[in-house]
Amino acid sequence: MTTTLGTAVSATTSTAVERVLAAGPDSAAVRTVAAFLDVAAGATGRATFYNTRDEQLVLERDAHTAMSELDRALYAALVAGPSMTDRARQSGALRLLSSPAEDSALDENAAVRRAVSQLTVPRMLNLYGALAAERVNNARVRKLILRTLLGAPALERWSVTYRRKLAVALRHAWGARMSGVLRSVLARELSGEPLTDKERGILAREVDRWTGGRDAAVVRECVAFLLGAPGPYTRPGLRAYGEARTDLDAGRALPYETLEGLRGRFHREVPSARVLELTKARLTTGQRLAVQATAERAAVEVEVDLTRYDAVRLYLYAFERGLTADVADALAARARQVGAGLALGGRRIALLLDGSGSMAGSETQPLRPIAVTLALRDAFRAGADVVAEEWFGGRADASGLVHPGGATAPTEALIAALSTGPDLVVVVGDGYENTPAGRFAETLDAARGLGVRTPVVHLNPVLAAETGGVRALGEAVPVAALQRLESLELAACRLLLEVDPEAAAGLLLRIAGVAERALPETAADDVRTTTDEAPEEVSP
Amino acid sequence: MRNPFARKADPAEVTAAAGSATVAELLGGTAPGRVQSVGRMQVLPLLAGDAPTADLGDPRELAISTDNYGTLRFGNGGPGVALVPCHLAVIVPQAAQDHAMPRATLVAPGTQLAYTAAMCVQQTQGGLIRSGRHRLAVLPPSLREAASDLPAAPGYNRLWPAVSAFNASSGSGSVADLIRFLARFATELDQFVAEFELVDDQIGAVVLLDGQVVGVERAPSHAYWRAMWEPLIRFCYGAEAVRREAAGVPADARTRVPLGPVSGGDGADPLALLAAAVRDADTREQSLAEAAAAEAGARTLLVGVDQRHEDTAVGQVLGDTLVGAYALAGDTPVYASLTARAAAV
Repeated sequence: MTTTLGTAVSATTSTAVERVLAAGPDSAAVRTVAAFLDVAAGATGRATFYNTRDEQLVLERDAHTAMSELDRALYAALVAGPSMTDRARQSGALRLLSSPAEDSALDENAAVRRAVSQLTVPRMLNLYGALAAERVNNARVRKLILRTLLGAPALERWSVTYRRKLAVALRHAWGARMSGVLRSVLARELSGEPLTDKERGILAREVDRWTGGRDAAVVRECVAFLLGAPGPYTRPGLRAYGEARTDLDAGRALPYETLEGLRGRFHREVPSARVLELTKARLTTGQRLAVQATAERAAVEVEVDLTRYDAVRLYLYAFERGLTADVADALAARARQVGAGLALGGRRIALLLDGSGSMAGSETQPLRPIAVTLALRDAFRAGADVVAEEWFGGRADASGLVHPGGATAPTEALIAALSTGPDLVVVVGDGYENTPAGRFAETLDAARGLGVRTPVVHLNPVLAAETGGVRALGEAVPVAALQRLESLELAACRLLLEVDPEAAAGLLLRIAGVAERALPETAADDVRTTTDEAPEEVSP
Repeated sequence: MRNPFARKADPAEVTAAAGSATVAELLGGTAPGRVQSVGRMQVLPLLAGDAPTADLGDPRELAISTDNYGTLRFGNGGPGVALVPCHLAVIVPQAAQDHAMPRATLVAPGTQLAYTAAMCVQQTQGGLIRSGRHRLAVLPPSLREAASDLPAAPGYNRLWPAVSAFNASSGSGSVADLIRFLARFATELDQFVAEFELVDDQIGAVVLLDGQVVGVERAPSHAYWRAMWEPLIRFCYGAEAVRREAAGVPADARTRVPLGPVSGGDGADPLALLAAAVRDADTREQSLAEAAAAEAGARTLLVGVDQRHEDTAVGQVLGDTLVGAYALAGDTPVYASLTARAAAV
């Protein structure tokens, strides 16, 4: 694709990729890239079955640090690239903004802006919150915050939905003193008092210049609201926010979570179902799925378009609510989309799928590993000729969902898979093996000795902090992290780094946005459709 | 068949060493599952099948605190009697002195029990544990042995010499503070939790280190086992495995069977040959683990009854090679938590 960062960027990034990969597949540079791709594809910032949240965060931070120190220009390009995960974009932007940009042909500021522009709103605000918490305040940060917030067409809605986070970001950009000045001036303006030339100058310099051509009066009112000016407000959303404190129904124009928050504070006698009823038409895509159980209990019908969710989310929903025909249809559609991007047409694939107890995930992300596994299975089924599907552990129910349980015994499954004569064996699992540990590698080694040359690769939905990346089933089995299907390109690049560096270079350029993407746009769209999902924490 | 646990006609006859039983009798009805082997540790799951079970609560639901140094207080808000597991350790992030139990005990429903013979495992930390649901742990084997050999009588500092020796043997200094060991080897201990998985119907396990049985665990219910698995594997047996690594104890793979050489030829299907070789290695490893478990199962132990609540009894187990506690529902063993004496391994 034609990069928006320009041909100079393409050349810079291409040179960086060549330089990094020239050191050879066993070099420290390639290991650094591999570790970065692992966390980019697999990090969630949450605890896993095996590791605490803190351990995961340290792993993630170290991988970002090493990659940025290896080649900052390449790091910036990767973070801003179209295939990067939101969490990696968020962490990457934080890291880049926290230290001065290097002299480079790459416009790092443009890369940061591009990365931020692809973030969901909660993630963007989490990033700004992290910048405030870490006291990262420089001209780049101030410009970024003011441009993206005050120039946003949805500023009024954001103001009532993310009031506190927006206020934190703006106060960080302006500083406490200027924020106080602006609050005072805007309060006077709202009350109809005339402003002095100096005050108008302040508003023009600090607010109006960042609005990007939008109605400055609207932006000023939103800023006044966010900084705590008493009003009165004329914008419907801002007015509704105030009125809902005394009359819940007056807040029907507000987002669900905002009105629910006001109900909890000012109308505790009103059932939550009333809020659902009032706001059901304006629920976000993510909320529609999340509130299904609540809505059912409250006898409120909330329509949900299952085709707008990614496969992992749909499987998690199915575990909670059952694998209905609607969900199965949506999963099939998703599988076709992702499968088409696998570019594996005609390849005979054998799948080894881990259903053991540890695939149940952690308390904070229950069942996510098995959901990823099932979604990947579907994608391979749709996009390749799957000649074998061998589960080790797990119990399938009548609907087809596989519930994690039992020990991890992949060896028999490996032999069964190899016996089908596939072109490629793909293992999907967390890499922990215990019946006994090491048997998989022993068996694969023995198979090689018997002349079996079938490549075996491993996609791992769980980061293992104690290994510094993902847990492998043996040194001879390339492994890549994979948390969501949109990261399949990152995972493929990670695997190719070990087995085909030349192909990996091409893929790395695609990830950095200087070559055509492999995945269809629909895959990336999955992320955007869940824009208002509960945010994850940004790593330190 | 004799029942060594048949209740005496007169409760007054019940004493601390009322009779003898074998380990196998304590595990009655359970069956071994597929062995899991990682590093120097092996876990032979015990499956309940038709074995008797009993609802003796969920230890995670107990409200636990310390009233003073040496007294652990347990609150049982549940509807049935609750079993406090043998050698339970309460490790809290609060600035409070962590404590452990020398025995198992019962807490009647809806009551609180102040156990005055508890032991401090953190010499250098003062403060009392605030009441709440705390993370559970089980003492490492050498501390369990020491705790079992000490009388269950007040004396909060009586385990300090054993804790000190345990720490010293792992290079963690000689202060009687178990947290120093746990903090130093936190990552390695996490690893042990990671490596072994619960299997369907599991209610207990025989744990082997370096080919020898170091623990025999049987819970009264599946739920109880799920609650105690992590405390056991991380703090008890995992801790001992880590200590051995730190102390430079050579690993002994006597019950491990690597995949032997597999040669093709004669037109045989190489993958069929490979499958047969894997089956053979796995079968032999299973047999070796089961044989070690069976040998432990034949050992005779002294069993007594220390405490009763209605039809449930709990008592200490003492043997030449294993120590711990057990519990009865009626006359039927439903709980055993035994660890090997150091001299026996």
